Amino acid sequence: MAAAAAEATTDGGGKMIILISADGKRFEVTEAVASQSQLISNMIEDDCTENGVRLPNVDGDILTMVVDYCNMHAGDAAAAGDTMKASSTEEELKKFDAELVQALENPVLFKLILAANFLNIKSLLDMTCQRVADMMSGKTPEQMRETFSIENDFTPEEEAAIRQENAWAFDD
Amino acid sequence: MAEEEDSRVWIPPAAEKLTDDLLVEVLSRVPYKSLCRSKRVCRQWRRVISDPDHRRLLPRYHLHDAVVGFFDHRSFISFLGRGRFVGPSLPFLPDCGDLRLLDICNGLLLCRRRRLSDPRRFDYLVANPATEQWIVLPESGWTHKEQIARLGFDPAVSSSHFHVFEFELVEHSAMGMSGDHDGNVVAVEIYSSETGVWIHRNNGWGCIIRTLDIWRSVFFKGMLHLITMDDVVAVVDVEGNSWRTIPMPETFVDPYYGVDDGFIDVSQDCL
Repeated sequence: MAAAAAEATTDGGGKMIILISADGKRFEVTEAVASQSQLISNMIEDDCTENGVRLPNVDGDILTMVVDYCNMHAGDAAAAGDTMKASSTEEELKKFDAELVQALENPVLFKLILAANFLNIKSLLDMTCQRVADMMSGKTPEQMRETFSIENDFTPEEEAAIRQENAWAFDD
Repeated sequence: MAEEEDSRVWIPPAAEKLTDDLLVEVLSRVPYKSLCRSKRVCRQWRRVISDPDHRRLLPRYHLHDAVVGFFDHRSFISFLGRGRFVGPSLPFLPDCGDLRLLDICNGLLLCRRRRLSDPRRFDYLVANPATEQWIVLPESGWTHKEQIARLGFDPAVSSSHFHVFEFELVEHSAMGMSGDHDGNVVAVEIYSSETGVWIHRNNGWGCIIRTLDIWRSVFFKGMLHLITMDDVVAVVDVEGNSWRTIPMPETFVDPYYGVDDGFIDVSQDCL
């Protein structure tokens, strides 16, 4: 991340803004990178990023991932003079996304979904939700609970009733 | 093991932190079968999946997944990759000679299957191609005569039950008209998967209702809507207790000759 931030400061184009995570970590990014978040984009528009943007419900480690993702995907949005950085090829991006998403496990995955939702970064939200969906695919309800550490809060009677309800068509 | 212990330390149940909206985002992306299974994970998931508001959202996304095959009148052609047609029948069904697709309703199929032992008789079969499950219905009393049959299944009302409507017709041949299936509806047999039995109801529309096998019907809010030759949409509920007709614009060409049939479908706010 430090590298990414340093790189960002060398940008010829965009104005820099500072993002501050819940645990006080500071991230300096260009406006172009940050505005992939619709939330921050709106704040930039409203001119209220002067003293840094506090993100009280995003941890530093999650924000690191978000900023990495945004740096990587800033290609199109990056300033015109910044051809070097904007040249992440589509292939590289795909590889980056695939590696990022493959590495995600609970609870980081859910935290990243919450962050992507809060910051309103649609592509990241899509990608992370799809990852959860892929992890669910082909699993039994028991395995899903295990994978996502969800407590079974049904009573045995309720569970039996649900089984019964789905008995004819939709059960596994 | 170490990993498991680690995760236990880490996780104050993370999934429960997903809001309902985010859970819908996730669930809208899972295959249909997994979605059905997901209802058994925990209360929140079940509530979210069963919520009528979300149900409107969930299947919408599934349209992308749903285009895995086409149904023609007789068979299911699954569509994989570019222009590759595979499997001319529903491959999960037991080998059973002549199978004819009669109706499709919200993901379930109603088929008529000739008996191998006696090809003059047939059974109704309801199948779910997504889960590859199927069921043969008990006899309706009309196993020897092909009647118009329609399926009623609305997962927004109940994902576990369906109804089958079988219309008992008087053939027109006596009046010098041809065709196997066109005639007045005298009565309807309605099968409920909940009770497992057929009930018989006489035509309660109070007028002559003539319909054709080839015309589509729509099952909406527990009511079956039929296009008729009589300038009305005929509506009946799953209990056979509520009967009504909705006037249709008058047709200038007799729909009996197949020119100006009109059609019926659920618009869901867009055409």
